[in-house]
Formats: sequence, structure tokens, C-alpha cells
Amino acid sequence: MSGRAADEPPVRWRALAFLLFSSGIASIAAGVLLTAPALLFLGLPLLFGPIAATLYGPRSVPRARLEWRSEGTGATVDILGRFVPEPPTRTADLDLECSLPSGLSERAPPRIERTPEEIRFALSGRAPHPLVVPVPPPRLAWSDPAGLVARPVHGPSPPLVVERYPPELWHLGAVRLERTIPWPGETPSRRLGASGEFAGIREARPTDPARRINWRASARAGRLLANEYELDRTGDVLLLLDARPTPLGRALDTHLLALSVAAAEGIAQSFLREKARVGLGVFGEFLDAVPLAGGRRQALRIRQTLVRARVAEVAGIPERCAVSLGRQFPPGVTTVLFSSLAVEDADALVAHLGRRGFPALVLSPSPLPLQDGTGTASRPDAELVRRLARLERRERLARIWAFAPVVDWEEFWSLSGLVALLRRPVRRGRPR
Amino acid sequence: MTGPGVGPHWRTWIGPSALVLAGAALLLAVESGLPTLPAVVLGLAGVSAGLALRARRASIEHQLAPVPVLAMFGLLAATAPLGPLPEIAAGAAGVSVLLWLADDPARPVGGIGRGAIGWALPGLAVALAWLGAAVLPGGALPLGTAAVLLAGALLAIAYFVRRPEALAGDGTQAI
Repeated sequence: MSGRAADEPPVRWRALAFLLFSSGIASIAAGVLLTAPALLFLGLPLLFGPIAATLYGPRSVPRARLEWRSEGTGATVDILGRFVPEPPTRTADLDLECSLPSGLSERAPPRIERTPEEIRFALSGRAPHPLVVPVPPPRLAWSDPAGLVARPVHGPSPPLVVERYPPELWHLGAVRLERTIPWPGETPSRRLGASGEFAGIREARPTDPARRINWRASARAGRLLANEYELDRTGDVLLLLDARPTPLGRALDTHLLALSVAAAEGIAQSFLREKARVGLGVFGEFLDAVPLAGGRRQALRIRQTLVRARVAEVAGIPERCAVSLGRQFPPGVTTVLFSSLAVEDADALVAHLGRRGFPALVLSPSPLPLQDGTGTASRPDAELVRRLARLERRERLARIWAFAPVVDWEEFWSLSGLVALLRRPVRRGRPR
Repeated sequence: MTGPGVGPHWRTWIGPSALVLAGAALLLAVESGLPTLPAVVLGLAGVSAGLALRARRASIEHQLAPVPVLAMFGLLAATAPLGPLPEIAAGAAGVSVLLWLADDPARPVGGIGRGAIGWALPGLAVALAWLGAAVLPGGALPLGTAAVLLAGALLAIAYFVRRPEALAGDGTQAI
């Protein structure tokens, strides 16, 4: 499927065609040199085969529509979709190549089913850790029967992002955040939701918790009804990702940043659902910021920025981050800093943030579960290395605690520590 | 991953065209200049290697399946003596390779019938060339004409390899 490459040629030779071309030319050349006419006759169909293959196929660019979605819960990821080709292209003429995005391991071989109307596919994967990863569209191409020539199929392919984060984040939006809107009083939103003032009654949904069911009204109506509330803005939250390179190495830094991205996405979605304003900063060498805002567009902006986030080549100085934040965000906003804290000046970053009016709560994905730095050491030595690494990390976190509360994130599918800390404003570094 | 998984069942990697390929290998082996028994063994070994590679799940091995078959045919054709029968046997061998490639049971888009143009047109070219070589009188003029035609064909192929879009039906732009 290629709504993506504008300069992609309409016809593409495959590797097999080049093999036949080169075999044919070699055969004819050898036939001339050895005066062996049988080689000439052998080479002739090999040369003409790929050319004849181009005579197949539609005269216009083949087109197909892609519909796909991601399903599954927890670590399991299922990507289901279908291609519907536009006439005169037939499903029997189309080759489909699909693969899981990086970061997902294969749970079962891909399934592809063809009917005269559509090609259905199903990919089954497993997310070893929380992640947010865009799924590349499967490659669909018209192909000749011998597989010598391919014509890429064009058409709309909606983007698909797989996101998996700890389940505790789903209800994190109920946490009261610091308000930085200058207007006094409540700031009601136009959306109905799970908190605020009573606004009405509606049909209950399977996702509604029991406390939201209006039992009296349900008994009268004979069906489950739920209360609807008018939401008010709970406040603002700023998510700041530390994307600076660390001595841990690029591979581990990338892995840790991917974990931070997943957690940030979960937190952002949760607060945006509750009409809070969410901002995002990614600090590598410089700050890449998404200003505070709410709504679906902001959710999209944040997701796009998170998907783009990469570990920087050069580490920016900590004060630059704090100064840049001051230009983009109002001081006093609830700030969550995602950092592995493996950089030497991690405490300086937290201290500068506090001084500039952004007292942060630090969520630190631990590199220890991902590391195997023992090499060829014997078992007691390896155990000693692990204990030393753990002690060093504990000492590092203790230093940061002098400036801000820290959540050591070792069990990647759980963020209960962060949720507990956010629920207690005093502990999360609220200015008094 | 391309298409459905290739299972171990023999039907998934031996199609009817495998018999045609083996037959062409045997014919060329008999017509080649090698002693019959080693030539037949060589032919069957090449075909077996090709089938075995095509039965593998890995994409790269699957793509390399024609290599042993082509090498075997090249070796047999190089040792073939002058004469109309070895020439038509070599031509048939080349066409049988195309037929075999079009009939890959692991690829849903394959099929002998659907791939008819891909092997019938080269087969027609071989038949015309063989008829020309067998029926027309020899001499400098036909040889020169054949050389010019061959050079022209090679130039055309080189052009099309560089610009495959010239073979497309129209010049529509990608989205």
C-alpha cells in the first residue's frame, strides 16, 4: 500500500527478474564465446520472461482501500485489517507483505485470508514492555504469477498506533491537579463526564463503574441508568521527557525513552479524557514543547510528538531546559519528569526545574531489569555486580529525593507508585 | 512474511510444473555431451535442490530456489553438441524454468494458467528462433541479421531494466 511514496515507480522489478536477466545474458555470452548454440536457446526465454511478465496486470495504477485496527489487552496486541481492491484489480492478483512493528514480538504467524472481494489479515504480537509505536502499513502489490514484477497498490491508509501502558493510568485523570488558569472559581467545560456537578441521567455503558449507576432510577426504569456529570477543568499537567544521552549507551537509552513515552502517553490520555489541560516537553539538546491545551487535537499533537521523540545526540545543559519551560508553560503547573536519572547532572535538572517554578515529580524507568552487564563473570561475581548496580541506583535516587519525589519504575506493567504519589499533593511537591 | 505460512506438506512445494521441469532436465541431460548417467544425476540433483530451497520458509532461500536449476541447465547446455535436438531441448528447459516459477504453490497469485503469457511468449520466441535456425539456409546474411536483432534485444532489455515505468500502462502519478 503506498499512499506514502510519491516518487515510487509504478512498476518495480523484483530480485528474481534480475536473476533471470543476468542468467540469460550470461548464458548468451557463454554461448557466443563457446560457440554453443544450446546456451543461446537456453538464454532466450530467460531474457524474455521478465519482459513478458510486464504485459500482465492492470493498465492503470491498482488501488485498494485499507481498513485496520488494533485490538487486545495488556501485553497482547492483535492487528486486524482488510484490503478492499477497486475494480478491475482482483484479490487473486495481489501479494501482501505485512510485519509487526519493532518492539513487538510475534505471538503467532500472520494469517491472511482471501475472498473475491477483500484480503483480510491478522497479526498477533506481544508487547514485552509498555510502548507506543506506529504500525507501518502492510505492503500490497500487484504481482505477476512468477513474481518477477510488482506494481505497488495505492490508496488511503489511515495511520495506526499501538499503545500499551500500565492499566493504573486509565483512571489517573481523577487526580486533582494544580490550577494555573488565572480566572477565579470553577472553569466548567462543555463536556459531560465522570466528575463535577450532576447534569443528568443516561443509559449505562459496560465501562461505567458501579458507583456511577443511579440505582433508584435503574429500578424504576427496569434497565441500568448512569449519572452524568458536568466536568470542570481539574487543572494542568506538564509531562517532561528527558531525552538526553546517558552513559548507559544508545540502545538502552532508546529502550528507556520508549518506556517513558508509553507512560507519558497513558498519563496524557487519562487527563485529557477528564478535560484537564496537558502540555508536553521533550528535552534532548533543546526543548521540543507542545503547549498546554485540551481536547482531541491536543491528544493527537501529543501522540505525534511522543512517537517522534528520539534520544538526542548531544545532551543539553539542565538550566536551558528550565529556562525554556518558563517561556512555554506557566509556573506552578503539576510537572511529571520522565528520566532514567543515569545522567550525572540529573539532580541539577530537577533542582533547576524547582527553582524556575516547576516542582517536579520524577518517574524514573529503571535500567536494571533491562541490563545484563555481567558479561562472562562467574555467578557470585554477577550477583555482586547486580548488587553494586542496585546500590548505586539507590544512592542516585536518594540524591534526587532531596529536590523532588521519585518513583523508581522497575515493574514496567505497573505504575501504582506514581498514582499513589499523584493522589497526595503534599508528597508530589506541591508548593505550600 | 509473504502470504500464508509454507507447511511441510509436499503439495505446498511440488506443483505439476515440477514434473515438467524434471522432464526438461532429463531431456537436456540425454541430449547433452556428458555421459548419460552423470548427466541425468546432475539434472535430477539440480531440480531437487531447487525444489528443496523453494520448500524452505525463509524468504531469501525461497528466492534463491532457481539458482541451482539455472546452474544445472547452464552446465548441461554448455556441453551440448551442435544440432537441432539439443537446441530445442535447451530452449524447452528455459521455458520450463519460467513455467515452474509461475507455479509456486506457496504464492496465492501463482498458477500455470494465469501465468500463461509469461511462459508462452518466450516459448513462442524460442520456437521461432529454433525454426529459423533449423529451416533457413545458413550464411553470412542471416547470421548478421540475428546478431543485430540480439544486440537490439539486449539494448531494449537494458533500457527497460533502468526505466521499468516505460512498461506501465499509463503515466499516472503515485498519491
